[in-house]
Amino acid sequence: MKDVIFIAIALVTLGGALFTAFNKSIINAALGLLLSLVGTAGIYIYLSADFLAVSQILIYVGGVMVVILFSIMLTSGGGQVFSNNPAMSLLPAILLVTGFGAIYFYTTWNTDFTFFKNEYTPTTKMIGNMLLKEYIAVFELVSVLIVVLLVGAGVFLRKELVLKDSSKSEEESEE
Amino acid sequence: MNLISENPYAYLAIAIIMFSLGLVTVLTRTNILAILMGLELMLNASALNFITFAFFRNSSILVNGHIFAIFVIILAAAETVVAFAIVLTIFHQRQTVMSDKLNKLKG
Repeated sequence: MKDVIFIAIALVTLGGALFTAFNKSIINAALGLLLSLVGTAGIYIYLSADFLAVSQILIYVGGVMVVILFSIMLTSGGGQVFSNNPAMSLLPAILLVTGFGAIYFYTTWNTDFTFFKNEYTPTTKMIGNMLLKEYIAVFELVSVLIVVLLVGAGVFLRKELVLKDSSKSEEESEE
Repeated sequence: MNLISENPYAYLAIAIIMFSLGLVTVLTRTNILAILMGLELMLNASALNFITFAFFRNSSILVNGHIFAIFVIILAAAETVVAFAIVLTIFHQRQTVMSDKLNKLKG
């Protein structure tokens, strides 16, 4: 039973990733990415990462995917078919990535990992302790990063920037 | 090691395939947002790798890999927000999000 659900989750995850890589419609690609991220949250539960599974759904599905869908709607529109890269068409890219994946598979299978079977444990308390003890410097740096991020996004989307450029294009069109 | 879900190589294989699909997306697309989605897939695969090795490692501290995955998720979210702002600004100025059309610096 455990295995059946695991294989179903893995198929959902990889199917979503396939949709993202090969679907022509960008909205379908975004929805495939959504499926893939939810499936990854399911896989995290199999790896005893309960806190991460929930934060994956909260941050990725609730935040990142909403932002990506919004930016698709606000820029290219839902119906647009997006073209392939003229510098790298599909077949050479697939060959290149298959070669890369084969090397990766080969090294992973031939490395002598010593695996150990851990028990399933709740991890939230441990993560909190680690974040506020050993990784406190990184934690503080990330909070500074998020402040910078908010200011940076605000600067990019500032109204004067858009207004100034629209007035400039008006001048150009008058000329 | 009889169950597939208790075999670490199953998780590593999922991560490898997901990373490769993300790489294909980044290489073949010209839409900036699609390239961004490929990046998300690759970051997700690397976080999955971290958590796999955190779970199948013989250590008293289980969550070292989880901390890395949390920071990967935070950085992915931050990157997406900045990319959203940049893409919207580019779209306001150039009316396109195709990376092969954004060649103003070519002269």
